[in-house]
Amino acid sequence: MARRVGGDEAVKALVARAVSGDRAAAEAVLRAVELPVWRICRALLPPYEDIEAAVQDVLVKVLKKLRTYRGEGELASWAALVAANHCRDLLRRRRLISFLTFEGGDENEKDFAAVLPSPEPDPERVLRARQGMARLKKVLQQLPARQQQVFSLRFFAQMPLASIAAALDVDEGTVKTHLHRALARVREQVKEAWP
Amino acid sequence: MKGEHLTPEQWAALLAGEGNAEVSSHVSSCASCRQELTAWREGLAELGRWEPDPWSRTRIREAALDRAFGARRRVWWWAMLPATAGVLAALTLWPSRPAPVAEAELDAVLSQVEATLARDPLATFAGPEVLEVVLGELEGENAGNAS
Repeated sequence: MARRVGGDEAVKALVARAVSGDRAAAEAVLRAVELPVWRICRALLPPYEDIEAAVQDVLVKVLKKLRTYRGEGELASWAALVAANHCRDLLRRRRLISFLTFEGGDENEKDFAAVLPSPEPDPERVLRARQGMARLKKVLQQLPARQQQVFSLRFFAQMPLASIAAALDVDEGTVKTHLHRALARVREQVKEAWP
Repeated sequence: MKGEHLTPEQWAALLAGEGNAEVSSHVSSCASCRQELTAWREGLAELGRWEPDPWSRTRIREAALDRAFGARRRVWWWAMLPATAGVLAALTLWPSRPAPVAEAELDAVLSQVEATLARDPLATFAGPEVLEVVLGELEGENAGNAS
């Protein structure tokens, strides 16, 4: 999921150094957490949003909130949650949660074009698959905040369910419920275009 | 999608990685569901594989560190390359002829450049083209004077 920074004690020591103002330690922390942050921002924000600016804001937040990290879960999971919350707040502020139009669809389709498992170049199948994957991202942005969070933490940040539960401070059953609902909704919305 | 062999709840559980024996049995015997499951799993797995380009990663990380710690003075050695190259070129190409002649030519070039820019300030954006024209004119004048 993300670059490993060693065992629990090593992570705690690194965080302590970063909190005390050690820039090299802070850089090591960012290296360890930045990939899931990038993925979540890219997944949850619409294509016309400034993804790089959002990632940068999240990384600054991560450094500023680092003293609140208690070392109970993976550092990257904790940062992924910071990213998911940031994206949710950003969209709330800009009133862009409702993503019902298909503007920007072409860009989404390009993003997901590499995903397609298409051994034979059947144009119709490729087109429908592209539409399906583009729709996935749009559907994701229409999910209730908690489902969206759980889905993105699971599939974009590749966090195990237990880590998601710890990060969200809920039990694993709750996470499963949200994930099931999210998957059911996503599949239902996307299947029309699936090959 | 070839039909609904599994319920939406079963599909959700399967994609969440929690299929039971009944579901697994159906998927293993149903080519349509197996194909869809493979496509979904590959698609979902791909969501977690994307990576930004290394240059963007470094740039954004450095920017975040600068914001959190305050920007530090950083020497962008690569940004100084053109200037360094220019100085080296000037030193290498500087004429070894007597100084008065060189200075006179330089003054002439500079005054021509100033005259060009006075006529058309936007010409400065042309950069080398402006100098090329002016130097060409200067050479022509020098040739005329010499003949």
